[in-house]
Amino acid sequence: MAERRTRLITLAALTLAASGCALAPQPGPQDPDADEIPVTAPQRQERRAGPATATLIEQSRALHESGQSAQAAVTLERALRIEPNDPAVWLELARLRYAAADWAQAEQFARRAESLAGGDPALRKQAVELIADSLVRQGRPTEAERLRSGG
Amino acid sequence: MPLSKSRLRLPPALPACLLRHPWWSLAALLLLAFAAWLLYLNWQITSRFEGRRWDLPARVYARPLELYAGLELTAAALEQELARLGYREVSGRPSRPGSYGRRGDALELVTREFRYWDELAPPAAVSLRFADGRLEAVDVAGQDTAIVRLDPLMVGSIFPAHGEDRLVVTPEQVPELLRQALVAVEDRRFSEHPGVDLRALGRAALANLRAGAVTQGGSTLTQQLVKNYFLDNRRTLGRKLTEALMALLLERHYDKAEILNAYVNEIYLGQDGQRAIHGFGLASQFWFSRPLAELELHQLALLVALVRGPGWYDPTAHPERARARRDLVLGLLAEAGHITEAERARAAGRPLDTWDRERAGASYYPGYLALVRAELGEQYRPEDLSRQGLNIFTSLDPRVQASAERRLAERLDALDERQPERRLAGAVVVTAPQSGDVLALVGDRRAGYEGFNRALAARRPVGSLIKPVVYLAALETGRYTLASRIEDAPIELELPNGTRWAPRNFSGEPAGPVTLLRALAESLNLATVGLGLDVGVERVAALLERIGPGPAPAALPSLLLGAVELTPFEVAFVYGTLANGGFRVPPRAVRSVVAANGVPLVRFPVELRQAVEPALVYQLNQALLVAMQRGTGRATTLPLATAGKTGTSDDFRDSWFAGFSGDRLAVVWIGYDDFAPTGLSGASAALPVWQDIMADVAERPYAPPLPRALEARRVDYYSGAPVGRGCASGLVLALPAGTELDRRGGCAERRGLAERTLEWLNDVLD
Repeated sequence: MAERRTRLITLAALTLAASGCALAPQPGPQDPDADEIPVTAPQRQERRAGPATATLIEQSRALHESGQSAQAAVTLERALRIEPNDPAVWLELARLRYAAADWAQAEQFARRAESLAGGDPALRKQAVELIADSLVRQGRPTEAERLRSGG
Repeated sequence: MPLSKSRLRLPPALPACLLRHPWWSLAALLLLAFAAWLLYLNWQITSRFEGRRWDLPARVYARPLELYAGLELTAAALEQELARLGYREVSGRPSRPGSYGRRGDALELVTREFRYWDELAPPAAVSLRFADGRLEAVDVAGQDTAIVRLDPLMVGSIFPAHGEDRLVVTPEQVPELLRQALVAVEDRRFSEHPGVDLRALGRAALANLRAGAVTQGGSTLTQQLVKNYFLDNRRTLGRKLTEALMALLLERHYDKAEILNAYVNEIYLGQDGQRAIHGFGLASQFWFSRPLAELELHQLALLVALVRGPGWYDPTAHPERARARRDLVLGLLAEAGHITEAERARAAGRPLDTWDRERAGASYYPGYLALVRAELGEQYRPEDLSRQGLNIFTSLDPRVQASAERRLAERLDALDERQPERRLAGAVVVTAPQSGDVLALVGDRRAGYEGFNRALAARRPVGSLIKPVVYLAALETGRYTLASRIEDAPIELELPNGTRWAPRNFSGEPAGPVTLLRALAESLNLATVGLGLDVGVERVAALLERIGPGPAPAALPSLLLGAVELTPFEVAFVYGTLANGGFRVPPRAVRSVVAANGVPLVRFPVELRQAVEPALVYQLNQALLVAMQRGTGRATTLPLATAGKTGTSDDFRDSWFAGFSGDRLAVVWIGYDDFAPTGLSGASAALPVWQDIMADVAERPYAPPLPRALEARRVDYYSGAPVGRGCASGLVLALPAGTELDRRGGCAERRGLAERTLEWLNDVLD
């Protein structure tokens, strides 16, 4: 793969050189963001939101609806261990804590979801809403307001 | 409780009548004493049997392996896991729980029924297909779920101080053939005799007389049970008599089925260091890693063979002896008509087939079990753990543990050649940082050796491992970014105790003006001390407490270079907060506890707390990533992005490495137990071990999404000035939006025209 690319480049360079073309450095026709990936993300994060996680989230919802919220939480934690960087799983855990009136942990899980949301504005918005709601429940409406207006 | 007649003292003043008829009186007294003794024995038997309560040690389980499409797992690795679990390979389609069949890239298996915290999972027939090192398809018969759990490995138990370990089985879990074999081999007239078999005794006595030594025992199963229950192994006449009497009493109270079942659970069948293996339920797990109900004929026969002398017939130590006795058992079974001659011959043709812990890739996990006990010690009394038969579910991953054990041992063996007269010690902790799961813990280079658990108990100076905390404290002030410039220059301080302190750089020479990025990536001491003093040592100490287990260390300037002692486990805690982008998730081993009867008791859910602003930790981690590319960790050759830091304490006494990928965090410590200098740095000893382990267990790159408050800027590594793409020493950093960059210094290394052209072409053609 890399070898093929090198050969291709050499070939292209030779062709250009032979044609006497001036090599003016100019921006290539490419994804403008490609240049702007910071050192932290040299390998693009592929989100493998596999069928396993989806199944577990579904199962967890069903368990929660039938009143088995502890089982629902266990099921979500299984998903978390498979897909630890999937914000959807963290958000689901936050909702479960919220439903259990554990506002403080609901806020924390939602913050974790928000920190992983990346390029998913819809999910980010839901996470921010949940953080704000949890803050209100904890008697911190001003912080919630600031967050809502900022997000 | 031994009982002797001397305990029954005569009253001090004897009535006159007794003196008049001394012989009659003596006889009457003896009779009375005998009756009292009998009553006592009777009480002992009934109370023990009625209660029918053995101390049930807590069972500790590893994590269940989740099977789902997309999982990184080869067919060979799964077969290894199945071998650990004692699954039987069959040639056709597997039909019974605990069996599997493999044809190339396809593998079918039937899981065992298992009581998890959240559900009682029935056996499931599962079809798997592998491709390119992954599980490609998972199909569970009769269900549309895409995911299934493989019953977890039992990794240990918490047994009482007297060492008796057992796994009690109900009569339904005992194969009929086991009962038949016990009767055929040990006590043929079991169903007829009243507890003692005089005919068998006579026969044995005769045989012993002929042989001139004790070669045969005429003990019934009932007598053997009594002996295991109440008495020790001394063979005295008084003891024999007590045993016989108790056997008779036992038979008067209970029926044969009850006695046989008690026998199956009581009898001693092996020794494993401190631990005595009692009962066929545990013996089956111990020798074959399988439930009793799944044993094959030749395996069952071997367990029955062990009854006569677990040490003498030990299949590992004396295989020929064990095999001869096993074949004898098979012969007796055929003779009694319980199996056919063909079945006997086939079973006798099988090898001993005992489970080889090491070959199956399993271990003894004493280090990990110590963590389990420590965690549960906060909730349970020791006697609850050793008596109530609790099922304890942990996050231990036997595959990760095996890698950590092996990689540490291999590297230490090689490193020891530098100083052959000494032996290095080491410790490893591996976690899944997001959930806080402790996946592996190695406290000694000798796997399975229960000794000083360095992962939990060795408090050692962390050296440069502390530096990320200093830089994070600096970023938190808002006065610094990674592109800010600081001075790496000689510094001298007067400490509160009056001594002067003049730290030096690892390489000796001060580097002059440097970016925070470079100072951390290359672990420059002078720059770090200057920065830490500017930020405030108290701030650094308080931050360490906030992101770790606490308490805060003393706020002395030497803290800035790591003069603080932490255990490898505590370091994993601190670095876990970094790996989690500022969310503090305490590392834990135990996930949940289920009672002996299957009732879910406690669960320890994932808990987290945001301790630092995520965008700040994101920025910091960029420097730890650059450290792996061009700084102190550049020797790594891992194929995926990781962030990490070396640590070397004064005079090379401790070699550390802590770092993480997108899914795994590992901490490695190496040093001498007596704090002697090793001559090894973090990069030369701990880093290679860390890399070896991560190569085995890490699957995802460390690549978190860019926080919204940050923007990507191209800056020079050395000067921090904004640079263009033509700058070879430039790299893209995420910095707070609108950061004003200092233009002084510019680009340190410009790229040549040819190189620039190639890069441009590369981008165009990519």
